[in-house]
Amino acid sequence: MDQKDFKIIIKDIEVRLYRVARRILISHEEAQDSVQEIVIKIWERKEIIAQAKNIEAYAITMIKNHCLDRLKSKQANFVRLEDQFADQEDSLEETLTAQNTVEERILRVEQVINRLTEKQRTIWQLRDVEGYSFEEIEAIMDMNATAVRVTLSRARKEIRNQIAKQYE
Amino acid sequence: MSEDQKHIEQLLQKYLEAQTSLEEESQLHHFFGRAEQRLDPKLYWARDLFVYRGHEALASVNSDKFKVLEGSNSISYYRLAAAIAALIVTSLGVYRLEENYKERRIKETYTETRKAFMMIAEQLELAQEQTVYLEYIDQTMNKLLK
Repeated sequence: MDQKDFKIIIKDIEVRLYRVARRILISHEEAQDSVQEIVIKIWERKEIIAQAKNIEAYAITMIKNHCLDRLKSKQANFVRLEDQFADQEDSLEETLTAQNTVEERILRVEQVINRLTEKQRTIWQLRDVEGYSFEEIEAIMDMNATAVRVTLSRARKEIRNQIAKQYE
Repeated sequence: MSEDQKHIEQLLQKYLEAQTSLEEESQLHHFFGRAEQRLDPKLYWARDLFVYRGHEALASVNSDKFKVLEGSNSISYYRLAAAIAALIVTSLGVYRLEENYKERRIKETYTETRKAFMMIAEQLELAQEQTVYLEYIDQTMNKLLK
């Protein structure tokens, strides 16, 4: 794989890498850093990766592992993720009405999803936004079929409960 | 309840159990993505969620949220930055070495000069002693001659 081929492949997948990273880390800046680190890693391993059946799944797995590790070390350093949501929690107390704009509703949904556990929001992202098959998600997450479906189902139900609650 | 809504509610039930296919999920997406229709309030959550899904899938591609350096150039930029950093570090190192060398030379010169002065001082002291001695001889000689 020469640099030209590499550019084409990466161009197609780096937006997905960014979205998955942002979903896990809930931070635009950290997601950007992570994508850059992973793109460089992929370039360094391009010979091995060129032989992989599914380069995209390989790259997504790399970014998922990278971001989960980053999250773990952050938690180990006592940076409580919940602190980032302090402002959001307040706004969640407000109720939604038909008068709310589409942008406001989109923001609410984003807040609800970002408050799921990291596994739930990663799997939700992979399926509902990136549109991966269950087989692909099992491989990326290194989880069995039942575990993936159970986690996804819990994530979706939690999203429904939280949004519905705001309309009560 | 219309046939349409009944079908959608069944699909939503499947969706919540994570049993829908990608095809069925895209049906839900199209249904809720349509212009604001008269919707049963109990489906508001699904409308918001599917609108968000669509927004999220498109938003990051075009919005300025995604500012990662152009993929094609990111590596060369990275390399360039690394090269500049390396150059700065090396120049600083050489400069420091040179500074150290100069400093060492000055110190050495100072020590050497100091040594030289000490030697001169010692000689002077010796000379002074000799002078006293000479004076003493002078006096003795005078006494003897008297």
